[in-house]
Amino acid sequence: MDPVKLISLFSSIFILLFIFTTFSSLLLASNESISKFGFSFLISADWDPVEGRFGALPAIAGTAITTAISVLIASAIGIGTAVYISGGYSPYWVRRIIAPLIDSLAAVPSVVIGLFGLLFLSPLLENVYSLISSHLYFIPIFGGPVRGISIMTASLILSMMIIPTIASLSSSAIEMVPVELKEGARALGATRWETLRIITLPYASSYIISSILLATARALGETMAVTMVIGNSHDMPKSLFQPGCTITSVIASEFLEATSSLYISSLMELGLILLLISLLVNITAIFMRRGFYARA
Amino acid sequence: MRELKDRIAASASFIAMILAVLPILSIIAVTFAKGAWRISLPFLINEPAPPGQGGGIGNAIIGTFMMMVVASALGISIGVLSGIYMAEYSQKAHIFELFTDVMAGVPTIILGLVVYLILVRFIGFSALAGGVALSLIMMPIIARSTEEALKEVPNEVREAAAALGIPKWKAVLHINLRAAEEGIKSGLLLSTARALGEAAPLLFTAFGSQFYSGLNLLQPASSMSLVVYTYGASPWEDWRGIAWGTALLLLLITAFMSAFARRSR
Amino acid sequence: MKLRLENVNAWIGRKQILYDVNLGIEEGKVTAVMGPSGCGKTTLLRVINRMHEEVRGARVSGTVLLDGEDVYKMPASVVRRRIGMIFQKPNPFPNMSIFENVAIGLKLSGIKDKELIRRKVREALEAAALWDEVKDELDKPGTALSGGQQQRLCIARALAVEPEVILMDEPTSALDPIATSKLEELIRKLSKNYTVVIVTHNVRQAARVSDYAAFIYEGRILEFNSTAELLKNPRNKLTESFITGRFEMLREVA
Repeated sequence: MDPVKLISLFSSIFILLFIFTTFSSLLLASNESISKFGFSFLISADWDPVEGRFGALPAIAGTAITTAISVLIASAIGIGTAVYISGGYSPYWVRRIIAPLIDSLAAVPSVVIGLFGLLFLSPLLENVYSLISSHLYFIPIFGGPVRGISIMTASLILSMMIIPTIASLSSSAIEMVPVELKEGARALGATRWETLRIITLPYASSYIISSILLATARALGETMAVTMVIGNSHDMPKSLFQPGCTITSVIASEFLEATSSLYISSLMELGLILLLISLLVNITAIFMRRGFYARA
Repeated sequence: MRELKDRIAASASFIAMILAVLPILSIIAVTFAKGAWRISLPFLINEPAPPGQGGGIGNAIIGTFMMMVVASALGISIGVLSGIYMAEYSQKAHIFELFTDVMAGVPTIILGLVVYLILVRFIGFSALAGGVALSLIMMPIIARSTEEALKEVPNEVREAAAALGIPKWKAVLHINLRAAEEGIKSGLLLSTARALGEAAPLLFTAFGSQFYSGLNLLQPASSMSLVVYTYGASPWEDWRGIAWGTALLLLLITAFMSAFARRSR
Repeated sequence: MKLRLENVNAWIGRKQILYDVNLGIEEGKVTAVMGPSGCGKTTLLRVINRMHEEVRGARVSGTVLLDGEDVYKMPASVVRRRIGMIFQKPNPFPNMSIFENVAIGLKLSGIKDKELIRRKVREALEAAALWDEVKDELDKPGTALSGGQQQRLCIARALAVEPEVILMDEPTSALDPIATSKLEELIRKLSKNYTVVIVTHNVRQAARVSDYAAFIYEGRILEFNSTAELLKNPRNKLTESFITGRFEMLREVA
């Protein structure tokens, strides 16, 4: 009876069906490689298109390592920034200027960030890595020969991209903590840091954690910037200063060159794995955020 | 001692803030420095040429435009309608909200794969397929921002419309959407800026191209974002310069759109 | 009788709000419904133009007759076009000009003739005593007007669809004294062409604008009479204490 209700319902159902369509089409497309390799796909590091052997381990490891490093760095910097602008360490007008500045990075296209990483940052970083590696060569992850195009650079680029998310959400979280609680602590003589440590950050913790999860999901799915600076090497990662690969970089660089149906199917299977991981992280983040709002 | 800790926290967080601000400042500076002098009329109009022979990104600009038209048409229609459903009609809105948010979180390269599987296998690499892939990025953003904007319309507006004897669906289309105008517009701008900057979903849908193909939606197409990716990674100085120029262009366009979106909030 | 309520009961969920309301509203007159806060006056109004059912869990029993026809047997949108409503807080449509606010009801009922619409908008604004103040600024947003003007805009908007009855839910409670008296003057003027039912908690306002008055307490109509009679010779103790302002005292005793 209500025409808008009907049409809008269809639109919503479209979105609902989209997830299922995505999942099932990827599943179908991965059929060949799943039946050929089974579980060993996940633990094999053998990537040989010519011989028809495909193993996802380097890509999965690369995704895990770059995501982990970038999230660690971005959390430290992001939460630190939030503490600076919202935790009482700077006058209010600082927030008004700094926050939009940091947020604006989120508006920069990922290819532009990738270009910056590829042509400007990696040559620069190569020198830094050389320096570190020449002194700390006995630590495997700092081993040479170093290259600017490497896992570390990819992680740094990723962290740059997700800092705004963590910083702005954590900053909001800190500001959402009830003023009475914060003032109560301060009135008792607590320093700013003590107030943060004992009252504010614990209260805001679930929100901050969900923002970190959100940033993780973003890092997992980032393709262009990572592909441009990671080098796409299927060797198992040993040193941070050497090229590697992630699931997204493999798909992006090799899909159009994939010659056999098994090759394509393996790439699809990689996509499926990525989809599942990112769905998991995303849904966790969504529910955590809902939990925070329900409590507040 | 307690004061010392506080002082350390102050310094550490200040350093963190500097580190957080450094990236955007350096990206803007470097992109301007390397790209500004590349932008010229020939640059904007010409087709790509072999390295060393000039050439431009004219076809990429057209390609971007075509794909954005397709993406917007699909993204806005399904997105706005879905937002309307969630805000005005749905009893179980949180379920739809969940799926919408999940859709927004799907890695864009996966979107490219899906459109490849579902569309490209039948109609080939094309601007149309690229547009569809981009629309999948825009849809959930528009849906949620439309929903939020409609939810902010105060109930008294709905009551006034009902008391005038206006049927619900007419009220939604003519009064509620109008009242939620600003929020909806800013959602449209933000999602457009987002789609403009994406290249991953276009890799296997639009595929990229070196030629003008008129306004033919069924031919492979290039986009500014694809240019940055392919030319940036190329071994030729010349082409890398084109990548910088295109990057600057993209930066300026998305910056303007995001600024507009913020102002209409 | 223009409007007749017969044995009307109303609930929201389990809570009953109106108990056996029987009321007759005479055509072309202003009838006031008075009572303390929370006694069901607004619900009474909303039962008449079927706005009550917009609330979750709302239920109504009994009959409401408009010119002898059962209002609950007509389509709700038809009822609401014949019975208009003005709310406590003025609510012009946001992002729409003064002109658009008044015209929207007409446009959405299918009228396309621009000249006709322009004429009817003018008539409605004149009938709402707002035309002279806004005639040169019809494109200004409706929300840019003062409170009193916004309320008159809402009245114009309601009048544009040519109702027979106008329901007003404490229309002046959000306005300053000058705007209030302008509006009360307008109400008296409107009663020449429309039947008006006004909910108010202000006894003196009822005295100023209404011909008939009903006193409602805890969902029941305790008294109904011509305003003059009700105020001079209230028959019910509670009515008396309400109109003399000693209501709070009596509630403690009773």
